[in-house]
Amino acid sequence: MDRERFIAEIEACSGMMYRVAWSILRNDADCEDALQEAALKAWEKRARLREERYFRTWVTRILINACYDTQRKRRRTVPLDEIPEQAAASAPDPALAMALGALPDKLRLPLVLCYSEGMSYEEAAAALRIPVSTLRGRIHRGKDQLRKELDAE
Amino acid sequence: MKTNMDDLNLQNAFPAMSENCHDALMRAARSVKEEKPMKRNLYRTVLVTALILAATMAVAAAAGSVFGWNDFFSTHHSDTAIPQGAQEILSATEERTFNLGPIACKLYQLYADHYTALASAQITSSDDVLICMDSCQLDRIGANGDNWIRQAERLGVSPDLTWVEAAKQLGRPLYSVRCILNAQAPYDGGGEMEDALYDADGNLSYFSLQVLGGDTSIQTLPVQMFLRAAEIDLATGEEKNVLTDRPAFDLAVAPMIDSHTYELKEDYTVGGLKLTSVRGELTPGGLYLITEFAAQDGMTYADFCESQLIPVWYDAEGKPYGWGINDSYISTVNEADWPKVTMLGMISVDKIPDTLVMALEDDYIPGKGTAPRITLTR
Repeated sequence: MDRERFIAEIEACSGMMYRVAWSILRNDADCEDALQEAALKAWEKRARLREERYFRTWVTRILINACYDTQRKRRRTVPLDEIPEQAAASAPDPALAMALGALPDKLRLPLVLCYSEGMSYEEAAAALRIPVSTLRGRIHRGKDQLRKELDAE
Repeated sequence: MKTNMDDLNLQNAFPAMSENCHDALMRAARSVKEEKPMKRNLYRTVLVTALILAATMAVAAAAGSVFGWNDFFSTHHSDTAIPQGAQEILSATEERTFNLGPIACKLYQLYADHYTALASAQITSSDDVLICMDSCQLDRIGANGDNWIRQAERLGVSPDLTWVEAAKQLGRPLYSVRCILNAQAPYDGGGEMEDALYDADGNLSYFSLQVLGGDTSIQTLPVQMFLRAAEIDLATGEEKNVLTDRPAFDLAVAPMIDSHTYELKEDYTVGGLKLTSVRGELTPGGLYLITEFAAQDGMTYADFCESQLIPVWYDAEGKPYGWGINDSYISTVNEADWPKVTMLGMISVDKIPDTLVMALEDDYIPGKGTAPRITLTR
């Protein structure tokens, strides 16, 4: 993958990358950090991407790792645990943001990848490195919990 | 009415991508051919002591008393004293109680000035419910230090058990609870802290702090408490019934009492940073010290982001001041203003000192450093 193609792919994925990063980190400063880290890591590792059509899934995996790295660094200095209202305030649907934010990561991320970003179960499972059957279970539980959170609003 | 999941557009749960984030991402992507790709664009670093993970010191508290902020600081920061003015505000807090199923959250010590908001709440249950701090149900009870080990002793279980294991052993239901203060934009200053301690009666006291933006014109602060109680499934350790509430109210903001900009009578440059301004802003909670520096030639933005330099404050006799009640150290760098760097700290005093001594040190443990010092007089 050459530089121009790489830049175009990142641009095309930028919205998705932001939402995935936000769903884990929930603040712009950390998202900036993780997004930059992911872009640089993706470039370094581009030789490992055998088929460019899988770029989106592949970069999502790298981004999730970058987000967790950012989160770990942050927790050493700042106990910035998730603050649902704060994260939700700027979303078009704050109640939905609040409900989604209340889910644990392992249930939230499958929902975000499949229902916000339109990934297939296979793509989302690859991005999360979990079996498709596990992903299905988490989607089911995630939807169930999300419904309960929304109904409790 | 039940929510129809197929009607939900989950993208509405996310804010639009900010220009900062988009620009940062694309700058990184476009930098890949450069010899040294640009790696960071942090514009703000907030350091709040990681109290949740900190091993705790012994607490001396009278049996039967509800834990307040004095107990919190004596547990975690014995060098932090709450000035009298803030003590009075905390004591005068109008108590209010919110119920979440079997859990009662009683707010009892709140405080706000233009940089800091504090809230504490006592968490109790009328039923035979075990209560642990949010998301701690699978942690060992003793993992958070002496205060929690004593709670295990009160319960008559080993501190090496998890909360779930203890609840099973005792045959009691378990709830994890969270109770935090939240001031939303534009008041949010970018940092939070939360922690919990058990008082001598075994009740949980929840403490939360939010860093505010420093606007001295605010007289009342609109805040929300985020209350969450989750019943834990003892078979799986997972939450099975989550109750939340978000009561909103206004919190009176303590006014700034006095301010002073210290005159710099000598040059002070350490670690590539030249001191350009020191301003004190006194509130009932203590003295905020806003220091400005100019990064000198040779220091890059990345160098600064990697550094851990912060001002440490001493009195005229060279004795370090304790941390202020904001429990934070905030360093702000707006990339557009580079090489200007602003740092905010706080000390526990009730008047602006005539003499202050500052050292820019490479750690945030007061008294540790041997860095050069500068004396500032009023």
